[in-house]
Amino acid sequence: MPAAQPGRSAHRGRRAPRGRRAPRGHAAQQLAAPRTVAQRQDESTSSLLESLWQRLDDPYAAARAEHEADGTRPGVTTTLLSGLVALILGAGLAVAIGQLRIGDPERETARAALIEQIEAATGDANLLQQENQELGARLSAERSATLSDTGLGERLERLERAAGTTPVDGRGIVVTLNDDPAAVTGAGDPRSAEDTANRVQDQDLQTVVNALFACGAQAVAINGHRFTSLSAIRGAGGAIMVNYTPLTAPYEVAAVGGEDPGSLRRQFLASDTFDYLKVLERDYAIASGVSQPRAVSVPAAEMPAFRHADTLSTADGSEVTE
Amino acid sequence: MIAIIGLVLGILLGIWLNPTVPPAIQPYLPIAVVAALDALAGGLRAVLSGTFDDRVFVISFFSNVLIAAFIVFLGDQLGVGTQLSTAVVVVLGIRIFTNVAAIRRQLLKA
Repeated sequence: MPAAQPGRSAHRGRRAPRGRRAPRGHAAQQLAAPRTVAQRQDESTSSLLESLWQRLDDPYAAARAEHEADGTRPGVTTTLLSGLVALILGAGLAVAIGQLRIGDPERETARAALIEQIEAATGDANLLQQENQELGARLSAERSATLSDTGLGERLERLERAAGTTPVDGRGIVVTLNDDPAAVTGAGDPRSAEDTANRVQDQDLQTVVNALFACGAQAVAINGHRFTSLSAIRGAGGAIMVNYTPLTAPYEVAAVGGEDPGSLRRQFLASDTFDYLKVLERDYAIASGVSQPRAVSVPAAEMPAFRHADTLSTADGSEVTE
Repeated sequence: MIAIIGLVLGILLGIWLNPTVPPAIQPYLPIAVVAALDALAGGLRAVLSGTFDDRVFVISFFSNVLIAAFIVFLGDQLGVGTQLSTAVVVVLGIRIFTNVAAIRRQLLKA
């Protein structure tokens, strides 16, 4: 075996500690000892990679040498025991490999469990938000009742309407925008949607909302999310976020307001934005429509956190905290 | 040779029984399998060079798997599990390559 020469010389170096440990005193081993020390110094100066490549551990040769040295053969018990342990190891190996091969379904179930948790938590959050809104409505009703005799109630109502903290019902229009059906790939999941031109973009919704306010709308909501001065329409990786909630198509922009019953619709149809929607429909197959239902209801926005409060004077001079 | 026969029988037994592995030791399975491959390559090399020894095979197999899994466990406890896994895979990979190179030399004389 001339090709394996470098490996073999390395083994000789490895055998040295065993020779030292076994005090059998073979002359050949004692002679070999000084050479081994020199070799060890050699190895310690060689690089890590080199030593990894060359100093291959060969316990088989070592065992063979030991058997030859003391002239014994492995006993029947040892062999049978080895066979038994090998049986167990083989079983473990097969199980481990089998487990690794079906590893992906496991990950899938973990992922599904996580998704389930996220959905459950989102549902809980929605319920809590609903409860919060109900309590907020009760609170503002109580407040209006208390403030009605001070003359501030009406003013508060007007301010709340503008700030979007109360739901608004009335006449208005609903503008609907929908993605090109061919471009929808995400199957209802706004986060997995791909960014393509044939989908409604955040910019389109911004234009529509701005136009509605310009046409005299007092309250606007997209898919049930009320628009206030603190709201934002943002694109986040193909999804449209309104008030930090991702929305899915179709997008329904509901607007309440206008000077007289039909004015909002009239003005919107005459605006540049309506032409813009037509262009979107023609060039990008984004369907849009304007409808005027009997009554449009716009929900209240999430209650903003109070940051500032002033003390107001009423007409009769008493002080009221708003 | 008894050890190899035992290993093959064990593999068949494992496939047949197919028990579930507890989740706690699942992260260490890939490393353990790589370590087992190293021991297998070493054993094959010994068979070809006529120095195969049942006891050595079983002990090297067992200790390889155990030590590799233990190193990764230690790494996980220290927060460097991924890096240590990589280190173990690199070292075992080099050993497998060297063993297979020796096998190739003996089989193909090249």
